[in-house]
Amino acid sequence: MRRGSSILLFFALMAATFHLVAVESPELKLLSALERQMQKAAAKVAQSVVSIYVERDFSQREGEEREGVLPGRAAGQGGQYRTRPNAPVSGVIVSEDGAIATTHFNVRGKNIKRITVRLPDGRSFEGVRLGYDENTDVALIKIEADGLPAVKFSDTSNIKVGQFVAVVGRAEDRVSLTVNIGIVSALNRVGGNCFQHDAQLNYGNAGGAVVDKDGNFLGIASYVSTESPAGQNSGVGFAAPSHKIKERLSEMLAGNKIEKEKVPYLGVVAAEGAEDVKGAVIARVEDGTPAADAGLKDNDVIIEFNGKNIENWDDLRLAIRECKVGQKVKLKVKRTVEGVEKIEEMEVTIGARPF
Amino acid sequence: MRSIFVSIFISIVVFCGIPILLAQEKRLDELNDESSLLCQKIARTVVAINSEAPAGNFVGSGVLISSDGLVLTVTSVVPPGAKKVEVLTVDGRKFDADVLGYEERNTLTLIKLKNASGLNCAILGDSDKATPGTFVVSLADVYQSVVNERQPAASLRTISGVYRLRHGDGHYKGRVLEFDAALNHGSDGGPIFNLKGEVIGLMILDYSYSKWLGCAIPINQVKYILDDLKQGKTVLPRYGLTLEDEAHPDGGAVLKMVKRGEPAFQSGLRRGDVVVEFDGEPIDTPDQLAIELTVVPPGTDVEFVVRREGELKRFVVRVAKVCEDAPRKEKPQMTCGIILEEKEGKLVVDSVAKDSPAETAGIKKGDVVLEIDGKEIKRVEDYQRILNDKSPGDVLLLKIERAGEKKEFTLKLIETK
Amino acid sequence: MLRKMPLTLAVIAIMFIFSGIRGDETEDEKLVKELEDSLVKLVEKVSPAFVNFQAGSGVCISPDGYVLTNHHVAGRSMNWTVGMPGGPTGKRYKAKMVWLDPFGDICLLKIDNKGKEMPYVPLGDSDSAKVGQFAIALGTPFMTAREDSQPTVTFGIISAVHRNMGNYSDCIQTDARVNPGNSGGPLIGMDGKLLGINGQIRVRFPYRVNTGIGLAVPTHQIKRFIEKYKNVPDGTTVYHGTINGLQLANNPKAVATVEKVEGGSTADKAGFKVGDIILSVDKYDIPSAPRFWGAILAYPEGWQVKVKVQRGTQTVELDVTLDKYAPRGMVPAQQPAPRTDAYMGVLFNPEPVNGGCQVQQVVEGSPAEKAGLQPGDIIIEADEKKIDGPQAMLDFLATKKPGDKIKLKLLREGKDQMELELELGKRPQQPQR
Repeated sequence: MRRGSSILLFFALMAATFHLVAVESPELKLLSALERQMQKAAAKVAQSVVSIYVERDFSQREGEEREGVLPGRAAGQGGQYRTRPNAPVSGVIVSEDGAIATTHFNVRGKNIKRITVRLPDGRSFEGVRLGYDENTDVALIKIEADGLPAVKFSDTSNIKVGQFVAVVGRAEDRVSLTVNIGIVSALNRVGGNCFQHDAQLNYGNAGGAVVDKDGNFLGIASYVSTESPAGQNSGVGFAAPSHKIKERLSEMLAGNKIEKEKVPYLGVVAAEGAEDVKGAVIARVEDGTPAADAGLKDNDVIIEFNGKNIENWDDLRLAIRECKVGQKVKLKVKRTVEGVEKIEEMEVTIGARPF
Repeated sequence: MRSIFVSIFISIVVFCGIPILLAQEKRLDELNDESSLLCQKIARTVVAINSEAPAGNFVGSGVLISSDGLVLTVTSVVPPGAKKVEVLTVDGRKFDADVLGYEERNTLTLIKLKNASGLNCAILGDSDKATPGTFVVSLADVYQSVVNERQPAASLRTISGVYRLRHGDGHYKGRVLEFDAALNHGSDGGPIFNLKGEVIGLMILDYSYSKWLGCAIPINQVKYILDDLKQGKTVLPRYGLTLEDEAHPDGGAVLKMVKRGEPAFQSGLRRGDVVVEFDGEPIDTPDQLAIELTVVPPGTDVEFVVRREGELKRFVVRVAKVCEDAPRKEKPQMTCGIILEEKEGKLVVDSVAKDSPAETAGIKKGDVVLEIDGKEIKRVEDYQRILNDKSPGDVLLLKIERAGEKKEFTLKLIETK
Repeated sequence: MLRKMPLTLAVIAIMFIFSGIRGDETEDEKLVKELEDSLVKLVEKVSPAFVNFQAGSGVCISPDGYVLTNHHVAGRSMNWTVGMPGGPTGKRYKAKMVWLDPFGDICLLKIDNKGKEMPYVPLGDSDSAKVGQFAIALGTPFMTAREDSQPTVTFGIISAVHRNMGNYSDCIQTDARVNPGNSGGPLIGMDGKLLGINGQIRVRFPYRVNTGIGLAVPTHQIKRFIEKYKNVPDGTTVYHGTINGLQLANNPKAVATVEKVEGGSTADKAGFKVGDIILSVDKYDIPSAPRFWGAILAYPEGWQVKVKVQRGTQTVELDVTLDKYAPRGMVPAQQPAPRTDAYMGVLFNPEPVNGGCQVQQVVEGSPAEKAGLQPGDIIIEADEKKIDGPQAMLDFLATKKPGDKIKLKLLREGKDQMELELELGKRPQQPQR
């Protein structure tokens, strides 16, 4: 009996020590695990990441650059490269029969002579441009090939800030894989169309695949926000989410050009420091804007907008957002004319925010 | 007895279970411990280096590879022609150093600290194991962090690509470990370590200008020629092939001989193959290929595309080496009296020596250097190399910009004292 | 009991096996998932404390609404309307200036929280931060948070500590990506506490975009100022400390040695002697002269510090009450407040470049963009007047008014001199809606 229980004790303690030692073991356990995991994640999508070479007629650079101004160039909404380097970019196979997604910036412009796609298996094909979506900066290219390894779209509506991501692209030699790791930095950027991350993006891996730690396809690396001349990255990059690409896939395959969503806009500047005034005080009405056309003036106080009571600028901002471009909206303002406060009613046609 | 068993069972579950649960909450702390311990371990092997050459002063970093003071660095930190080399360790010890040798294609410089012993040195790892996604810690004397605060600045990044660099900003034309951070002031020559704390590369500036990416020379290439470098030999790339003088009628360079057992043969290349592409560059003539062949550092992989019986075939050659005892020719070092410095990606005149040819010609401090001898140059190292090749009686063609105006000068050269 | 042996042995064996099967894959996935979950949780916890100054960032550090940011973000006005996360357009709050620290590049403000408890990040212990430890930065680089004030989060490590780089005398260097717009925002450790306020980057190239070096003003410095200036009237400018009359040997590579002590000065009265080797300042070991001055300048004026020196074979402890450090001239980190309503829509490089005034950023839709001005352009003449730097350009603009047309001569890379005409606009007050 004693022997039995002491054998038991012996084995039990061994198991316990073994377990504990394994749990407490040092040697960069977490970092090594993260390294292996992210490399595995990149490997899962590697076969679908291609190298795209866009041959352009650079003697027409002037025109192309002007055309290359992305709508929404406002800092934080996408960068403009002033010089487009003559080097390959990346793309992702999104359908078995040869639809390749890349960034619209990569393949826009009238001075393109030829688009060549090189698959990881070594074969090269000429690519034909199909449609694009300006909101997410994704464009489709079609090659004549079949049985290709396409990525699986996933639902990215639940990604969280702080999650690990890897951007997978092809290097300048058109063969080697490039892997850049970072975290998700923010959601709903670029007018709610993209998520942001700090994995290093540069001109070469734009158009590449963004994956999470399990190798799920989260999207295409798209806009780069930077003031650098040739798209060198600063750690502020964006990605077109997987489910949005899937939503618009059939439209783009059909060759449709989805234009930038119009953001409702009045054209007024909010007054700072307006205290104890119920309503949204206008500091200034910009010339040639929907607000100016409607007859709004500096120092007007908007108290009702589209039937909603307006107590402050937060109310007004939300109310404007809920409108559609082109919608005719009734509003009430308080205006002081020669010392007398009056309430005026007007109608404004909501415009689109200019970029 | 059953109750003893049960109680042991329960205590094991509790004993092992709780640490696991707690561990989950402390993952971020664990992460911090791991990374700070790693940095602490390897920081002491990094040194700050500054060298003086007629062209100017060079600063950067290096790594100790022996306890008696062998330090690896790159030629943009200690260029050929450097006269004085000073090294500072993280614990504040200052050493003068001698240059043991240069390996030009790998842009490597090996120096030895004078009167040094008992120093922390780094272990050299296996760079062939580095692939995209491998984590690396870079350590260097960034903006004088070693000089001012006795600490190398660390950065934890990942290798983003492994490939042969062909259009970099500098001299190196071999394989690189690309990682996703541009080099900063002082990073040149600094080591990158894997998670095991082994050096797997040395940082060079290439691509930092054009693409803001970091590049490192793979340490395996360094290991390959390290002994030769220690013995002061000159190392050249060896392929084991010769070329026909005439190009193939349809274009391309014809392989005249491919020696058995040599790198070219081992890769699969054979006599009669017509080389049409060398590492992505189209090849039309044997002269073109000959030039390409000589600039590849030993130890690098290069891809040949050949035409054989109407078909295109690819072969990857691991370039070997041939060592020669370098005849130490004592050539006078020439100068024109200008010291240059790097400022925001441009080369600017830092000082003009009194009574020098440059002063006589009217060169002024602050002038931006556009071209030397008709070539656009961006780095002080390049200027030093040009000076190294000059002999008594030579001149230097200088094109500068001053307040929006471009000026050209032809400068006499004098021997340095 | 012997009959029970096989059963119990089997149980133990199974336990052993489970212990042994660390199945590499499952273990990796589990560890990374836990790590990621912890990071996501940390981000969720601290993000609500982010403060959006539109052109810069800030962070709320107490439940009653005290906010830290950089002086170069908020220094030019005593009253601010700031944004914080909350809803699709964020929430707006009024904040007023408490004190300004131009040299240390910090401002303390107070949000009018109307009695509500604000989300905040507590101050951490930046002195215990080690190189290699991880940190996250919250900010609005390139104005990415302008719609909803949700911060951009970037992740990296602490690259170096106690760095003396210009007026950031004792700062934390990080490789977490920070860019224009991140200024004033928090650098937070893995314990969820504030390590520093991000304020500067260093670049090798002439574009103000991060290449891996971010500098943050550390909490240990800020804490001293918060303590000392607890009850000052709103809008007070605070000063850093120094030791007048003390000169150290100008050789950073050697230990800090006293070279000169001015008679009758603070240094003299404190007991410094020529030849003294500085060993420590309070709890900080001092290996070099730059580190010594970096440590001293991180204290407020009037603070008492203990300096330990080596004098011959003896160690001597000196008590010093710091003098006021009041440098002449413009503080480098500051953009001067605009003196006119005339508006171009650019951000200039605070240092002259190539003998002229360099444009760093061009605001989209601005008069500068309409005229064709580009980042990187160096203005060398305005209306035939020579422009040799940003000060000259600002002086020139101060004489203009909205609507004036100006002729600019500039240098652009790749082209010879260029000329363009620009019609000045009116300075906007806030982003448009």
